[in-house]
Amino acid sequence: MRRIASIALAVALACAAVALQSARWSYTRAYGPFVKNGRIGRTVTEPRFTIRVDRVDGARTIYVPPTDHTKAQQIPATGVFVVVLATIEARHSLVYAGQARLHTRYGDYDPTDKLGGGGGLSMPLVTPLSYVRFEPGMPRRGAYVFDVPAAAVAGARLYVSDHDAQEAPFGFYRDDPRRFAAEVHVDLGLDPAEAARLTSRPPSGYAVPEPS
Amino acid sequence: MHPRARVAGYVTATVLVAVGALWATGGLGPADTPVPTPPGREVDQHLFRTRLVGAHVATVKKFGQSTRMLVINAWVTNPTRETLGTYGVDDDVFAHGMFLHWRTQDGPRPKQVDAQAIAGDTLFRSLQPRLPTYVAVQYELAAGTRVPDRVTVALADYEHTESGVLDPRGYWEWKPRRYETRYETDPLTHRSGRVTHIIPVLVADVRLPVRS
Repeated sequence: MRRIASIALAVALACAAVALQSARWSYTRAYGPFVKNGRIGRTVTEPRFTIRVDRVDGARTIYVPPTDHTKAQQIPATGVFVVVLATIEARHSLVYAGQARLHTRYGDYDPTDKLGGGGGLSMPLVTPLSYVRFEPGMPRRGAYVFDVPAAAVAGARLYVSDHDAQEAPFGFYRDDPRRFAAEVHVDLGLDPAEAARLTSRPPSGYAVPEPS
Repeated sequence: MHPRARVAGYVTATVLVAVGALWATGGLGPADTPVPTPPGREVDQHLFRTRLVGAHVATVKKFGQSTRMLVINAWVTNPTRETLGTYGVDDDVFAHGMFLHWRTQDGPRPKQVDAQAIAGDTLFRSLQPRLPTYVAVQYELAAGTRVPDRVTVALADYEHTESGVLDPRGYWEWKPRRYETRYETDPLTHRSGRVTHIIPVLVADVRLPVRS
């Protein structure tokens, strides 16, 4: 009887050990960003910057005015362009709010690279907020532009972080940009009715404002 | 020991060894041979859903120099929950999983040099989740290369590693058919050593007519 109890206990402990291994926290939960939630129209204060989302627009095409070297262009959306107009200010020192994503039920969308500037090697045709260097006391208003399926717009939230500038070494091989970063999650107020308004008849030839 | 018990022991051991060997070598699954697929039919690469739709030869002018290119066109959908790319140094870009079958009698093998997404006149490189995107993969042709009337393109299968050495958040890489270890010298650092490469499972062979 005693031997059977010992075997049962050993098996139970082994099962518990295996179960504990698979029940570990996800990487994001263990090392993910420190999140601060906000809402459209309200200022959210992070340790290194403040952000206020002023407005969200939809667009079918984006108009890029001519320059000395290029002619005027109409850039078409594959889905629909979601243009998030926001004001950002650095708090203590120079900062880039370079990591922006539109979090939707279909996944996370990076800002579109249809405006150029891919890889940071050239300037985009219209400068998005991701490329702007913010200085303390000098708030700047500009836009993040996303290209998403129309069905993904309802419930979308803007995630913004400065963690590109705060890479943390991870292990031997790579730097991990997400560890312990500060990140703002802004509810854009895109309920189904508002999402339908943005996506049902989005305007063509939308002019994305350059950062102020 | 009773002879019958001894035989039973040998049989059990043999079965265990056979099952272990099958498990270690991938089991009795179907052979990983690419399926001949007509142009335009969707191929599930798990990381991408791809329809190869055409091929043509074009002359591209870059930096004042004309280069002959073989261009493969595809409609690509990113079924994951994050933005991916068409071309780059990472493993999880679309062009990385495309292979051109090439006969040596047609001259030097074309070299893959870029893959760009196209919308109207706009070129870009991001594949946003669930947005079908038209992509042109470019292969540079050497002076002595003859392009046949039809080319066959193989597409690799991918799998997601939940947690790995390179990134504890998980990452996509080729589904391995086998591994090959070679002794190599890094052209940049000139350091030598044994490097293990994945030989991917190929899910489809698509034969495309080439327009000149």
